[in-house]
Amino acid sequence: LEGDASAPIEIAADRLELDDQAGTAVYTGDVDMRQGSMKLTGQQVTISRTDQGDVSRIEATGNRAYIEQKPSPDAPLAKGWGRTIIYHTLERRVELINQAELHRGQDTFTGAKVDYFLDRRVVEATSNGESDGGQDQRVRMTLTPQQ
Amino acid sequence: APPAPLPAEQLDWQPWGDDAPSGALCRGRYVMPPYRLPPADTPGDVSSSSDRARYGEDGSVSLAGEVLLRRDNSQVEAPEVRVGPARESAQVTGPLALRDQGLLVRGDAAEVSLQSDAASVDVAHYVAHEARLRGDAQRLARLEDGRYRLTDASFTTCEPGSQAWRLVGSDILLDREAGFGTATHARLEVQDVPVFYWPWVRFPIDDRRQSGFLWPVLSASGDGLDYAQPYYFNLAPNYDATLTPRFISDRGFLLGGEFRYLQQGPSQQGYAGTIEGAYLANDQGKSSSNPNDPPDAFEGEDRWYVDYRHQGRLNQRMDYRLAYGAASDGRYFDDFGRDFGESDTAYLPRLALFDYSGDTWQLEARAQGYQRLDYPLAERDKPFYRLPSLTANARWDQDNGFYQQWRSNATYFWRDVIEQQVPLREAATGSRVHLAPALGWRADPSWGFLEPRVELLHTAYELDYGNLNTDRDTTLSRTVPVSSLDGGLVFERDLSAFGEGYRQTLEPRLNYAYVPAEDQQEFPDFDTNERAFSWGQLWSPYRFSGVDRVGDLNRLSAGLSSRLLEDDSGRQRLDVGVGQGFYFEDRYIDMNGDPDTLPDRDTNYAAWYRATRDRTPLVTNIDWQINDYWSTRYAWLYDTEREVTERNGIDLAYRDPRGHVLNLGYRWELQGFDPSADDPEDRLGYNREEFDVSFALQASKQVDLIGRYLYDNTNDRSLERLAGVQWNDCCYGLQLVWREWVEDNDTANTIADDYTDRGIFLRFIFKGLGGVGQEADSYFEQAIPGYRSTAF
Amino acid sequence: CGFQLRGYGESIPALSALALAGPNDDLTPVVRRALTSAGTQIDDQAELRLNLGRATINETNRGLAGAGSRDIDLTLTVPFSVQRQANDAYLLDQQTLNVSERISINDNDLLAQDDARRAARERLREAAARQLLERLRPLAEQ
Repeated sequence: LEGDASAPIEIAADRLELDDQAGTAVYTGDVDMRQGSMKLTGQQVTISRTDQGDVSRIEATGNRAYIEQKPSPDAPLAKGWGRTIIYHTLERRVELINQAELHRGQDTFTGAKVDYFLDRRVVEATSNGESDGGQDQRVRMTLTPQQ
Repeated sequence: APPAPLPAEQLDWQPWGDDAPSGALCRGRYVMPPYRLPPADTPGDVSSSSDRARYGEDGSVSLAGEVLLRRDNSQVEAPEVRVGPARESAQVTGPLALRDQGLLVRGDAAEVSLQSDAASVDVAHYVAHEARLRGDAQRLARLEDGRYRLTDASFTTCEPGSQAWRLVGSDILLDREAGFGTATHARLEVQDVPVFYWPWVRFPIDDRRQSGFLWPVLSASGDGLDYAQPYYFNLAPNYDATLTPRFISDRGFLLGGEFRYLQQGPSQQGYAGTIEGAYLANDQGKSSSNPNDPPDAFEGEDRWYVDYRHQGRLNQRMDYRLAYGAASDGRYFDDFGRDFGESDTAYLPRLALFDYSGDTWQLEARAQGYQRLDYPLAERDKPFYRLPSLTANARWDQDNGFYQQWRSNATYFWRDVIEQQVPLREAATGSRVHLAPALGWRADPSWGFLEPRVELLHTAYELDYGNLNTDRDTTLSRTVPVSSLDGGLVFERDLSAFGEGYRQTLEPRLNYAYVPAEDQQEFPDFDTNERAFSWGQLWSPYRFSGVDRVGDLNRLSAGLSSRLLEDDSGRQRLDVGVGQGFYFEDRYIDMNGDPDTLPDRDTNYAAWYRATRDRTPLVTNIDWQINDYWSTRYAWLYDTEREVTERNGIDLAYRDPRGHVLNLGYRWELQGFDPSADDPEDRLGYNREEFDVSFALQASKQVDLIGRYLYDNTNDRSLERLAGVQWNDCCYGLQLVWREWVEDNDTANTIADDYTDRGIFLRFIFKGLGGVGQEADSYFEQAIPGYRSTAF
Repeated sequence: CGFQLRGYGESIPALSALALAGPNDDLTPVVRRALTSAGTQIDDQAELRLNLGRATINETNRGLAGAGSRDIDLTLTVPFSVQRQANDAYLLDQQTLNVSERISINDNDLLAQDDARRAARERLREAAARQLLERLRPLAEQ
């Protein structure tokens, strides 16, 4: 939603390690992070901040980290999965990497790597991202034609 | 013009290699590969797989990198696909492959609807696997209702790489569900050479006999080029029609047509019929293949024929038949017969027949006549009409072997002739009532049979000699008893021969028949002839066919036959019979019917000898199935007094299930042997000695060879020579037959007026472009016994 | 020379009863009469059933097709089979019987030609019935 970027971040996790020098906070163990309508879960979430203290990058990994967000008040929830999810807050871009999957409206995307531009609601999926075990990760979609 | 076709491997074509099924004519087949993508879970949804996908701001989706799109049964393979925001259709950039149930379309670009089956492909190459169709089109569009519209397109059933034939059209519409296609500005190309053009043509595209385009029939004969283009209309499931415009270079333009109908009722009821005909206005035909005819016999006249046949069954016991045939002249089929079978048509039947077959009684009512197709037609050759003929037959069998038989017929004979130009006994018309009650007793134990029988033939006439003044009686009647005693024994023994177990029978038989002579000099001749002697005549008391004459007879026949029956199957392998009859009195009744005078020995020796000989010919019959392939038949009639062979026939036949057939035949008949020809013009004028060889050979899967040679050894001339080749390939068939034969002008007694006629007959069959299995020319199956022509 | 009157000495195991299923054509009554006169009772409950197919008679020309008087061969072909009524097992399956005869006809006498064909057909049916009985005898002997 519009106000997500400036909403406060609440995080629940088992442990927290701060690395002031790098400016990052690493939460591990059933991490559940919320910001406005956006929700992010995973085994480990690393939040990086800029020098001024603004959150610049949230990276979550897990046996498929999960992210959901309400793109607009009337649109259904957009849900995304990936072994690694990187939320570039400044660019408003979510990157789902490795067994990436995105459900957007009635369409679903899977593939090696999916980029989801929140504001422009543009999605780009590719199959040649890093794929573990050489498993065929071509981009698959299911489209529902307008009836 | 349509784009160039693609190579075979891009059309799902799989050559057989070495596991070709037997008789396969095509060198391979189209195989639909499995789908490369499972359908989406909910029907109607589109699932895709690609290297890259992009979901644009405007809501459009673009896929790239070996894109696979699947919607229910259709699948698209392409380098790039774009789906608009409205999600109604997908733009596909080629080279693409669109697959659907049993259909492949490759093209450069396409638009595929996502809401219906509609799609359109540019620069398309298509294959319908099941129907073995392929072709190319500048643009192929599949319409919502499943039909295909092709612009600037081609269509063929030939294997990829073969240019045997194709149909090219600017606008082709294929309706696979209804099974036919239409094309505008269509032309047929054989090896890329245009052969025929239609402004608009409709053609079937599957096996159902569909409206449309049948094979063109091309033949060359004395009348120059003869090109017929049948055009078939499947008007409804139970009736259809064929229109056949036909161009004959020396005669003009002839329009032929045929209408067929069929109605199946409950419990075998129902009826079926056909009406066919043809019409040619003012025949330009100058030359006639019959030198005996005046040259311009039919020039300027209208030539036509019509032939209606109908048969039906009212219930289990009653069926009926109707027929009416007429032709403008007796030479119509000689000039216009579409195939050899038709050009030999000797008559056109006219019939209304109704018959009832009960357990005891069989009733039949018929009105019957013929138009005899002979030119010029002599008055005496005109057949009588039966207007009507009522027949009632019955038989009662008692357990003790007694039986009674009743056979009766009442017929009114009529014909329109100049009485003065026909023999007196054929000059009358009138009615005839014939009653034939018979009483007999038959014992039929397995070891023999005995049958005494007495029959009373009572015949009465009411005659009218028209404007012929004659003092002949016009009301006549005659009652003649026919008594016979027939008996035989069956002896048996086991016999092993040729390495198999047989049962051999030995069957002596005696038959005595006595018929007194009755005066029949003033009796007419409507349907009667004296029978030629044969094995059957040994055991039959009737010397005449038909009813107008009852021949006097006092004869005892003795015969001995032996049969070889296979032990395990009971199949008859060999049947040998020898028999001879001994006359105790001369036979006075011949066609003249005078019981007191014999034919004059000097002027009519053959008839005199036949009437006075003491013994019948010694008849020998052999019917031997040598093995599964070879069989032989032999019939020999030898005159023991004059020590001369009166008639002789040997046949050797080879049948091979693979389609090879060989027949060898020899026939000899002594001049004057056959008394059945009442008209001297029809009696054999020489000793007939003929050699008859005919064969059919399946040289290879594709090639059938047929041939026949009939040689008249007495007059050192070939009566018929026929050679034919039939090429049956994957997508087309060709039938080329050359035939040369002697026409005897219906005068068997002289060969002076015989002439030779010949014809070449070429037929193309474009498989898939016409109903399969159009009946081949019935003539070949008649001329070459054992030959079954392959249905294309 | 070993010939004995058929059935002399040993009782001829003719089929005592047989069911007959045949189309309503001219051959079936002739076969029925031949069977009964050979001592086989036609009985729908019999152990075996003879199935007669539709008999066809076709004609081939021997001499010159167009000639006025010529010889033609008439061949009667009838498919038949024998089944055990209890379990429909086939004792004789898809058998065919061919009987042929040659007659001479003349196109100048079409009415006589009509009668000649009808008489030949009757003889063919009698011959077919007789040979059919021979084909059934091995069944009786089993």
